[in-house]
Amino acid sequence: MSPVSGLGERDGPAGRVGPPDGGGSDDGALLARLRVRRASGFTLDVTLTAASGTTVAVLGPNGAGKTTLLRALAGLQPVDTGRISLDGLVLDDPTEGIFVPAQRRTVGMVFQDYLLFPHLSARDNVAFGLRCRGVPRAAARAAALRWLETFGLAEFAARRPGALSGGQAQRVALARALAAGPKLLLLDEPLAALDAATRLAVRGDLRRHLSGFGGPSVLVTHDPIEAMVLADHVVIIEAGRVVQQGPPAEVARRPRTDYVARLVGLNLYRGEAEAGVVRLPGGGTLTVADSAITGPVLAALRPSAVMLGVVEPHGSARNTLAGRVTGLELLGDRARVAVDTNPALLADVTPAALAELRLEPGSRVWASFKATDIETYPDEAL
Amino acid sequence: MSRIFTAGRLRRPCSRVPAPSAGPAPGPARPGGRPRGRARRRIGGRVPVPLAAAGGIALAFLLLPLAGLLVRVPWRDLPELLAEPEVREALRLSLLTASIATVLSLAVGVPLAWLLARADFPGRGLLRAVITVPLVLPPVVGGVALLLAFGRRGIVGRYLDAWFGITLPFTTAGVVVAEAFVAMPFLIVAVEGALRSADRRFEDASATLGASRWVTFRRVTLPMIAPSLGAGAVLCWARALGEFGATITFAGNFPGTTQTMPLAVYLALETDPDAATALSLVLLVVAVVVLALLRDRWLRPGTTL
Repeated sequence: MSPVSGLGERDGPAGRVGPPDGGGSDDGALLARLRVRRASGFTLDVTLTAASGTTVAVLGPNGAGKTTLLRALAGLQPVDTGRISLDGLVLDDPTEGIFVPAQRRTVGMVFQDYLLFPHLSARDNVAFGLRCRGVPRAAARAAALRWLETFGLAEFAARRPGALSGGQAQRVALARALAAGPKLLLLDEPLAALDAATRLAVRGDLRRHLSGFGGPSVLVTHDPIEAMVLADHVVIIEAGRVVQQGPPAEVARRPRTDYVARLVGLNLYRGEAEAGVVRLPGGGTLTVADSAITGPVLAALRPSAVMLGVVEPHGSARNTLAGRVTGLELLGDRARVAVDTNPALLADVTPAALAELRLEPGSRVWASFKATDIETYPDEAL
Repeated sequence: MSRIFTAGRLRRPCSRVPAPSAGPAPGPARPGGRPRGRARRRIGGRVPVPLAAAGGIALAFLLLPLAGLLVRVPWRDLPELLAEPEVREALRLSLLTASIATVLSLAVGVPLAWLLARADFPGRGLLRAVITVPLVLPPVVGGVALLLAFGRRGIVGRYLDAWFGITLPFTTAGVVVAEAFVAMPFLIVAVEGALRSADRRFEDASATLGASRWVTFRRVTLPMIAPSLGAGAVLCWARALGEFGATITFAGNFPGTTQTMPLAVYLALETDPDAATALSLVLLVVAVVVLALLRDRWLRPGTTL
């Protein structure tokens, strides 16, 4: 097919972690392989694909390059090398001398703090994109009003952004981006500026609108729950590079880096597997259920699968480790206990168990967990 | 001008004294204000005598001339004096030329401010410095420079004269040129500062919605800096209205064509001091009105020009 479709195949890491691509068609799809060097010396080097009608979440810590990625996709920042194409159309390719600026990209963007124009009413904010595309004022306003209606905001049409609540402003910003008829939707931390209660409601809304949007969407966030709920595919970047990508459930089950493991709340160990035993660099070992796997592996363990006791357990658990409590943290209905066993562990117990065992920092404990609770998978460099 | 600003600054605390009973009595309001002031003073310790004394001298120095002006205004004859044809003519000419100079400054100064703040070209920093020269240049020198450029023998003026028959010096148009030369930098500096401090991501948002840079400038940038633009325009207008040195050097002092208010004041001082006082009062009132318009921008603590 076109050189564009070849690009995705060539650059998708091992072709294994690409998003569902709707039967191999590139209609409307976003294909991006880009490298952006910033003056600070930071380099973003990312390959990203998103099929029509799917949402890709880009997850990463602050400073990982998430916003730079969105700006490059939006056309606000040219790439140094690489190629961005959307719906078969090349938007940015320095080797061919192509750079389509933001105003000609038909890319909608929802900014983190919305950036609604403060001097325009909600309706005129939504009508702005249509006016820029040559729609007469009356028609643009009527269309804007219909958009606001679908977002349940018709009664706020005449309000200035300053008089809108955070949740309303967020929805106006989404309506404004969608009203311009984009082929690609970019969302930069769309829920970060909202308080927890509003976030839940707006997240549900956002999910509905994202699934109604026909083109690909890219969502940047540092909130794993947001990514899991809203996205079909998760791309995790750290320090400007993709460290892991895949369906949300896969990422949650088999994290590849410590950052991802922390995000999804798992204990993660890197080691060498042989005959059902994983040897860790620190000298510890884990007994795992998969005796066939060999070589470099990652082993993930849910904190809730770890049992703690003050006497050495003699049960079916194949892994038994002794150590001291180094930290305690209450997380809602459970307590997360950090233990300095070899390897170090996080274990979740109920507050009642915590009280019964009289655990406090420095307490000696035994930690045990079953071999079958450890998820073992090959540690492949991306 | 700065003198007049100071007067306004001093006036403000009086107007802010809360009046619990809306009656005409200043008595009840004062006790309400005083204890608070005393309490605040105690927290910081006593005001050092040298500072209080020197500050008092400065205050008197700045206020006395204004008081002198107000005391000597011939209030009874005021309507008559201001109705005199020369005075009315000077006032009309001043308002007209200052307004035209401001419009001209807006038309070309705002685009220049945008170029300085947004466009990327070599020598931008140098250009920015050059533009502020008229701010600190003695206006008379500005007038001389204008003569050398736009005078009949000037490097540009001779062609204006020869090709188009346009003569600027000693005409009303010359007054506008002199005023614009001196006042435009105020506008440019104000607008450029506003553009630099404006959040450029709004312009990014505009671009993602399909707006060209020109549309973004008109529909997003300009409305967002409107308050600064207004303040810059008012400042520019006030500066043009008070312009003396460049005007008298470049445009002369002909009643009806180039004699603006400041020139009329200067001239009247020789012949008719009462008229000079009356004209000065008018300019003072204008200055105070300008100050009132800009009050929120400048009289907040910590703000600078």
